[in-house]
Amino acid sequence: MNADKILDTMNQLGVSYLLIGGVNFMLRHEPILTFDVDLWIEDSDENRTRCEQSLAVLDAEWGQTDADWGPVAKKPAGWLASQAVFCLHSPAGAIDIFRRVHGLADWQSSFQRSVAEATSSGIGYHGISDSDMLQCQLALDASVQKASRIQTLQAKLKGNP
Amino acid sequence: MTATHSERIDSNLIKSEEAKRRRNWDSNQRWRALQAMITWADSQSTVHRNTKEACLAKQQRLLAQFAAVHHRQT
Repeated sequence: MNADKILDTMNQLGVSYLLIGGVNFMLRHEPILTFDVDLWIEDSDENRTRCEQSLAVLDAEWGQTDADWGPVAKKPAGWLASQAVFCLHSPAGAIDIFRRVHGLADWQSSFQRSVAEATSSGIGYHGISDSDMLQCQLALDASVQKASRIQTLQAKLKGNP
Repeated sequence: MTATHSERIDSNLIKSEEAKRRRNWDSNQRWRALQAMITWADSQSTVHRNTKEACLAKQQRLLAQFAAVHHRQT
C-alpha cells in the first residue's frame, strides 16, 4: 500500500478529510499492522465531489453490490451520498471513506482539535486528536475495541506516558 | 456506552462493506497491497512515534507497568 499516494491525491484535489483509524495511530504512537487508510471526510456536496474525483484518480473500485462492482470513475456523480461508509480498493491500497464516525459529534469540531502532521516522505495530513481517537475506540462494541490502543491513548492523555 | 440503532446499522454496514471488498479484490493484488503496506509502515522512520520524546514516554509507561506488577507480587 502506498498511503502517501492516497493522502497526496486527496491533498492535491483539496478534499477536506481527517485521517482516522490504524494508520493515524501507527504514525503518531506505536507500530501496528493495519491494512487500510481510513478517512473521515467533511460531508458536504462539494467535498464529496472532490473526494469522488480523488478516488477516480486513484483508480479505486467500489460497488453498491457485487454485481456492479467496478471503477468509481464510471459511477454516476454523487455516488458517495448513497451510504455512510464505503470500503474501496485501489492499486495504492484499501481505502475506507467515512461520512460519520461513532463517538464523534461533528467533523468541524474534530478538525479544530486535529493534529497537522506529515509522513516520513513529507506528505501532510490532519489526523484526529488523541482524545478523539480514544472516543472512537470507546464508542465501539467491547468485542471489537482494541485494548492496547485504548491503554496507550489513556496514558498519553493523562500525561503519564 | 450503549450503541444506538443507527450505530448498530453502521457497524453492520462496515462489516458488509469489508466483506464485499474482500470478495471483489483479486487475491494476488490484495497480497501485493498487504506487502506494500508493511514496507510503507516500515519506511515511516521519522514520524512522531519515533521521536526521542515518544520513545522515552513509551519506556516510562512500560517501566510503570513493571513496577506495578512487582508491587502486586511483593
